[in-house]
Amino acid sequence: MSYNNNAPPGPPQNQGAPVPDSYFTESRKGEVNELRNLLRNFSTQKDMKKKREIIKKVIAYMTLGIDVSRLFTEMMLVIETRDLVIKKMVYLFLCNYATANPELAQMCTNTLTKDCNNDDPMVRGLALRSLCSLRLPQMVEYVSEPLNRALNDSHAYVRKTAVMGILKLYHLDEEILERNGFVDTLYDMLKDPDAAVVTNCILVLNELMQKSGGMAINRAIMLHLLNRLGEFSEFGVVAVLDLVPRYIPANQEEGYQIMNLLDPVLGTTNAGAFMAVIFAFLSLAENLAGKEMKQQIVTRVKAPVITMMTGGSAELMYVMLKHVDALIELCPGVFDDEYRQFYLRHHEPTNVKYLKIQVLAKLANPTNAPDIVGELSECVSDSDATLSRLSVQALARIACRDVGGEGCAENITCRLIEMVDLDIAHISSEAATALAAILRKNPSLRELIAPPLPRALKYIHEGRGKASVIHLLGELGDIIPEAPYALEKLIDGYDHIKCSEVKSALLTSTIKLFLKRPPEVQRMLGRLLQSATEDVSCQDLHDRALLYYRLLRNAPDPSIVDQVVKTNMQIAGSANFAEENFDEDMRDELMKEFNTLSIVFGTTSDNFVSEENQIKFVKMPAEHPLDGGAGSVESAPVNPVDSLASQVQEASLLDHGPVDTTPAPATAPMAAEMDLLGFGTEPTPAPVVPPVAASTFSLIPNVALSGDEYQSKWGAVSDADAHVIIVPLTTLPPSTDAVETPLSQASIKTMASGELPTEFKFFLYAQDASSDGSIIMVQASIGKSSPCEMLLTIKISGPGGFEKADAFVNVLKNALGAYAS
Amino acid sequence: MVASAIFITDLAGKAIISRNYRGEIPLTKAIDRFAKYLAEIEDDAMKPVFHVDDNGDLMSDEDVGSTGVGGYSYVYVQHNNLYLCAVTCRNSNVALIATYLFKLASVFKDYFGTLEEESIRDNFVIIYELLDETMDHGMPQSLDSNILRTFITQRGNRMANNDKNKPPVALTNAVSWRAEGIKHKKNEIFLDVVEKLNLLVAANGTVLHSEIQGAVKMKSFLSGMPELKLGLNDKMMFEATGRANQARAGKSVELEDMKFHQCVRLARFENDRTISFIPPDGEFDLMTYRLNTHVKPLIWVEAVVEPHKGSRIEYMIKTRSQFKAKSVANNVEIIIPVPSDVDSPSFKSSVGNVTYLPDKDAVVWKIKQFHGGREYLMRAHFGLPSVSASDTGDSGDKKGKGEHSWKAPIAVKFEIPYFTVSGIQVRYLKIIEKSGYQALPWVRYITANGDYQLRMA
Repeated sequence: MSYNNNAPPGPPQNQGAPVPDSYFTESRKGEVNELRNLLRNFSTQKDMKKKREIIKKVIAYMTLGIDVSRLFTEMMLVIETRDLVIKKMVYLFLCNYATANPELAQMCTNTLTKDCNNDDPMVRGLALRSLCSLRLPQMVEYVSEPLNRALNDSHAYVRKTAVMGILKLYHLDEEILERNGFVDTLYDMLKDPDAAVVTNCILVLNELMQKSGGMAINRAIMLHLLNRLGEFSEFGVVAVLDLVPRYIPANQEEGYQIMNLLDPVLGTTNAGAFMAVIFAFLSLAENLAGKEMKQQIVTRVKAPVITMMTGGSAELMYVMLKHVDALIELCPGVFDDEYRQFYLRHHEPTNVKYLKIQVLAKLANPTNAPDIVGELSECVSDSDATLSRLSVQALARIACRDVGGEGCAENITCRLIEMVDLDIAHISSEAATALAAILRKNPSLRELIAPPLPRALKYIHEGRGKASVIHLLGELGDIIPEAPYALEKLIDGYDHIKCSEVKSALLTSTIKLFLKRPPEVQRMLGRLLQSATEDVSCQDLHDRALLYYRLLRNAPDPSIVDQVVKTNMQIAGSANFAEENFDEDMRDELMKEFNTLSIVFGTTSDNFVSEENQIKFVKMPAEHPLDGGAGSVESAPVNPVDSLASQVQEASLLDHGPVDTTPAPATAPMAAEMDLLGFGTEPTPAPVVPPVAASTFSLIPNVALSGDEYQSKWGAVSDADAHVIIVPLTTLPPSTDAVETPLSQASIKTMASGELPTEFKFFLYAQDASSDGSIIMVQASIGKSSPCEMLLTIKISGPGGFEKADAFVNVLKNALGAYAS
Repeated sequence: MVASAIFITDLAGKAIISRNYRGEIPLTKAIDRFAKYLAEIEDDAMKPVFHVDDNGDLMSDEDVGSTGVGGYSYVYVQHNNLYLCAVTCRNSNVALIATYLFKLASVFKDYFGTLEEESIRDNFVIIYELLDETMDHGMPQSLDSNILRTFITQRGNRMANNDKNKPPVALTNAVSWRAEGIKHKKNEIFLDVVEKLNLLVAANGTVLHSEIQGAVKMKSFLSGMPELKLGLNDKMMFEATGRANQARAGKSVELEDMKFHQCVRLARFENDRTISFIPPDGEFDLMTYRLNTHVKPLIWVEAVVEPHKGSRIEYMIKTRSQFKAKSVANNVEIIIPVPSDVDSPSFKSSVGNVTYLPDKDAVVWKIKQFHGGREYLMRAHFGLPSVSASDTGDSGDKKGKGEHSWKAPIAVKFEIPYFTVSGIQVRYLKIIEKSGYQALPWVRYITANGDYQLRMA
């Protein structure tokens, strides 16, 4: 447990500080031995209270980090007791030291196993939990028997403990799952009447199936769980909510229904559940309508998010702010009108303050910019140097992005100039750097920026700020008459400059000035080049000085020097600085891990979580053979879609009927070998047919199938027998017709097709011309994002194996011609 | 969510109690690393969530992952003189972990009255029991102290050798927050509507931000399984039930963002804005709400400061109550920050008494009863040393600090009973129990300061 078992029974950590508790104060020399004696007389001790005290002392020592594992034998003798508190303490001791004393621990399992049959469900649960927590691999077989029994216990407390026990054993011995068929049992137990048991089932399955992307979900499971949402505790509900982002709804309507069902949960005070709902919403939106929908969602959750952020503790505020920041990046503009919520409060911890400053800068728009700029300027004068730096940077960001409307950038520039003149080291320096950035973005402000520079050079000492001023002097040399003379002092004092950043800036700026005003600068440039070429403190500087020198000496035409030196530093009006542009793809990846540590750290989990602890959840679709999104099917024949839509209605979420009536032939592909929730019991046809040679493969031209036939045939073939093949395409077809027409010429018919925001979907079929005449059914989708490829799920009704599917794909490829590569 | 282990330490990071749920991390090492973090990182740079890589090096947010995968992430919350901390080596649900830790703290508080180092040392056996019931293998389980109480008691549970063998039904009950068979002699329920006013005023007197955070707190002493229905003058509810004229008559309030205790049927509320629930026994917060309206600052404070460098500093504080004359604000405290090196204070005030708190670098002006529509004055005078602390500082950094460290905002504390800023009212509280007893609801209103700050010029 908490302390390293191999640690020597060394000095306790708090020897110096006396703790006024009787358990912790007495000197410990020889005490363990004394305890041993007490324990030996335990059975003779009549007084229950005294008995408890003895055990309590042992546990107290354990808590302090003293190794009491020597008492293992004695403690095991005490295990036979009717006192529940003593029992709990002994179990705790046992779990803590079992790995260090495996043989002894094994001996006491009899008592534990016996307790697993106790009349009191509390004791049964307790014993089972301890039994599973021993972490002794050799015990796994002993444990699986009582565990199996406990899974069918009449009391939910025992069942829920047993479910968690499966996971504990799995970590000791992965094969235990198959030997006992635990995975099937767990899926069955999702129907358990007790919500706490179901919660644990979900959590455990997610971890057991870690490698295949988490618990397999299908429509039936999802609807079942969502309909019972009200029964779960506020922590249990999170387990269900965490499944939703992985579920791809059968159609738009279902997606919206799920959203409506989850909406009330936004009223919870549990931040974990609350964030899970937001994530569920955002993921559903991805499947449904994309970007605009996300905007709507973020708008919807704005008010509760703010409440959650401001209502809780500082720690929660920090976490929430990180997430708010992510939401703002996702949907800029939505939080703008709540900017006052991000004003700093005096007593807030600095980590919260820093985040608020960064967020404030992102909220600026023409309406609120004057207020935000005012507030940020106040923060600049804060006593915390980091905070004032961040505030200056935030101001610069607003000015550079030019989000503040008319006159805002000028206003900020004026304020920054005042700050430069404030003569407080870190503020002046940071403000100068900010001005340099603003000038690159907004050259029209040069007249404004120029005047204070020569005097600023005198009192800015921080390297970066000084370099910025020098840079500005070089840039604005044509309108600052005294620019060369300001630099000359520095050049004369070259040897006293320590910061190489300043030296570099000085070199570049002097060259720039030279090109603008050669007669004035020529001599000082000469001196500078000499100093710089002799300077060995910085390789880069030395080399550049040399380069300039040779250029100036050898160039036939000064304009060449001009070209080399005067690189265009300007940033086009609409662009941002490269480092401020958040990588879109990375953000998308990050948003897939919303509501986790990733958002707080700002990097995806594969960067900091080791592989064995990584769960990359995969989305799992509700398998609907015919439904391509009810709202968007264009060229579909009327009948099948209609009939299916009505079926979907029957299985509607808001219909609180028993889930078992759901007609969907749903089995998730990930877990095709299992019978999820008792659906999909159709016998799978035995694939015992001889392979069909590809050369003889051909299709019957005039095959016709009704929607119902298609659906039943599709459902009759188990997912395990489906073939999934990816056909790479050269270009994205412009419409569904562009695919259907060539296919139909090759005798591959279309049952239904449609265009979704992110993909094309097709339901195709064909009949084999050979004697067995099997029907080949295909669900195909072409994703609109790159890489362009066609994903085929092929089911063959009738005999035929992989070869047949392969042959069929060849026909399909040929038919597609131009598209297939 | 998965936490590998939970531990509680004192402020120096010394472990008091810990539970390694999954055994996947060496806990002693992890706790030592946490203590090191507390010791090494300056207060300013501390974050409640941080990551330590495989070599035990702390990673700043930008650097996470730069030294390869692995390591642990810590999430911790502070409570009095304790840190409650969770460690995980997975990408866990961070909001949930934080919530769990807060809940855990409140469970301990319910059990021991206060949660501090002492109470943990005194009750370590129960703490172990609670740690085992609230989390199993790193997954949160039951965190309802009402329910936990039914099978983990202070006195210690005796294993049943009589036939009164009571299984913890409620632990897995559908109504997970209430045990069955609760009996009270007198069936009463107390309802407190508490509104806290958050206010931020700029130095020039403009209100930067004002907001009401309200809570309906309940203390329930009802027998059996009572069904409760609460009626508020909620504008949306009036509109939803077609009583728009009542909504318009100005007797209703628009509650913006409401959050409920888990006992409230959220779907029902979504439907027709009815707040119906089976209450837990004892104390709980039924709902909280937030109103983002412009409120007149109830207590206004103006400060004129005249510093005479090197000799003295004078304050003139004017305060005004801006609520109805018949209301009274109790226990008003106006806290004015002063420079840290002042001496020989002298005060003159028209009402209340003034004290100088050197340890907090502040002056507190206490007014026991502050009636509405009044205005009071207070003058404070301090001596300043001829050489101030900020003058001796040589670097420019300190210059900034000396100037601003005492320019913290003025804070105000107050309580106004029988009054809510928002105008929220309890219209009814219906209590229905199948035994048909009559229960008495008691309702109180109170408005108090929340985060109430006025910045000084």
